[in-house]
Amino acid sequence: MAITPKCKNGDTLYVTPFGTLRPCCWMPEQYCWKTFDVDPKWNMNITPVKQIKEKTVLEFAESMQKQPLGVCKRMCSGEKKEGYGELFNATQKMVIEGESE
Amino acid sequence: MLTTNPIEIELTTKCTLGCPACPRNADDYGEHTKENWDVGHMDTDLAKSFANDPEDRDYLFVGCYGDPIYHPDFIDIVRYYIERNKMLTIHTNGSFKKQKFWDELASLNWSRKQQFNFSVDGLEDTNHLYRIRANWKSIMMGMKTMGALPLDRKPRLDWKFLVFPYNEHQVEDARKLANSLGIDRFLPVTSEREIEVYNTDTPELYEWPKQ
Repeated sequence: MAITPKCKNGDTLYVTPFGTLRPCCWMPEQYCWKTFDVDPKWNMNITPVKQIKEKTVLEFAESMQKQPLGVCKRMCSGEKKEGYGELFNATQKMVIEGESE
Repeated sequence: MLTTNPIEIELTTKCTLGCPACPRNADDYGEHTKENWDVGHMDTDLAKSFANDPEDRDYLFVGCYGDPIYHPDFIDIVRYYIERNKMLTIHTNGSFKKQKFWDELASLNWSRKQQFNFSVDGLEDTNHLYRIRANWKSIMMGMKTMGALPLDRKPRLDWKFLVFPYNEHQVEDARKLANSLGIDRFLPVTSEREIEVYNTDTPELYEWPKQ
């Protein structure tokens, strides 16, 4: 199944209440214990957040395109539906058109 | 170069609602078991620390497992980000906070760099069908208080309205209500998730119009 990881642009980086980093909020917990939580590349006390956003996440997204987790297939393979146009993503940042920061 | 993408921060795993498709309540997420994700509130100093990095300027207080307004130091944390001139978006269901909370929140030195995203799926008679236990009175209290702020110290205000068959007929009335409350943008949105995901214990999710 082809997927388009939403994390590939580094805009879904997620910090848990424990302060650990994940590529997005949908990562299953047990998988995280075995990967992100023990990997220095995802540890923001070791690797700068900027580097995680610009490098580590991209590497993860590329690996998911080759061999996606079940949750990635579920959340990042959907086609846009007809209807009200705006694709709803639980963690999507809403940007007001026409207004600069 | 400054980074431009927001960091999503989960301030707490506490929430008052029981939305069927939320990972808190859905049973189809396999390893998302409650004892794993229900870790309580983020340490306040840790929550503030992210705002100390000049490289980062854009943050999102998300509600993936909990609603950020239920963090006991929520206002203090938000004040810290505002004082550092950070772009900040806050996702909330807006329920179960008292007028005192909204008044204190409204007293912060907001600007258009900050944004509130109220997730309210319908009107008084429908919002609670998916957002189980949502409290309409307190939601309106929050929207009205924040919406009444003068523009020079008002955050951007969004009302995100998740469209279901049972609330689709209320989109235009909700849009009018949003305008009257001072909401900047009303966003009727469709879910990318399948409708079956929402049908845990709420048959109304399939039914409209009700006879």
